[in-house]
Amino acid sequence: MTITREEATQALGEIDAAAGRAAEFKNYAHIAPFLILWGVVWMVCDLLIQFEPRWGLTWPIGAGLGVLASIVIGCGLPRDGVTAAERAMGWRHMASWMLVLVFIVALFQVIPITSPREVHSVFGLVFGFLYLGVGLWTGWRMAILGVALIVLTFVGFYAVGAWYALYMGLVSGGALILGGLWLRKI
Amino acid sequence: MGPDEIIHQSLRLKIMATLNALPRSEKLEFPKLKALLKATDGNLGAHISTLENAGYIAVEKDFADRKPRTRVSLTASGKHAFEGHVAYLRELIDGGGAEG
Repeated sequence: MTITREEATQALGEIDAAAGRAAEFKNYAHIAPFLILWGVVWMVCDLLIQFEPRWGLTWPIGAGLGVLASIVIGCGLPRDGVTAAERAMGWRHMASWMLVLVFIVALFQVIPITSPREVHSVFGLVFGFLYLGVGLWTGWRMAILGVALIVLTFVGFYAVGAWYALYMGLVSGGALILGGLWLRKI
Repeated sequence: MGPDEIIHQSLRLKIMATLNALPRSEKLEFPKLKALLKATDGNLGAHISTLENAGYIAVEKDFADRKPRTRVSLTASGKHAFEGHVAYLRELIDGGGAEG
């Protein structure tokens, strides 16, 4: 069998492309259930807030349940052949997302917030930009989802009036759910 | 080390590269592999058989939700052969190895 340098270069290119696509698929498959979960949390919490604004603990309770469910999902991911180092990486990923949540809460302690609308929008924008950043590393679908979340948050902030929570619940929460389902498709 | 004639065929190379990129011993369902590689059923099935006969991949058939399911994964010898072939290709490009 004779292989020229050109053929070898082409073969390595095919290998890189196939491996990159497989890695992208693997990342999407891991991220998708978390997106769907948090889309549901977002939708339920915002719908409750829209129709029963007096329930001030809706989001803290929803976020707490979301964190617990995320841990359950993380523990349920396939473990065949996963090394201790890879397991530790999974926990680091989880901890990183938790740090973002804590960061936003900390931010509100030093930046004056005058309305729940601003709180909502900050969460939407921070996670939108994070998804965009994650997308730069894992694949273009995450980047598109991030851009969608940013745009939807700005549209809601400036164009939606009294039904803002309902809008964010249905549109942004729905975007995460649809995004998660989209990531599961190859 | 020389080239691996079984692996070097274009679609088989992509199958091996795809399975090698997954976590160790992770099994990939046939329809997902087909979609990832944009291959047809018949073509992919034939090349999977070739790789299975060489001992490079393992094919597992079972039922999930009462539907037949075929999953493929890379074997230890398949991983070794793939890495050897990639090393050969790199050496060839770097000018350190002989063609053929």
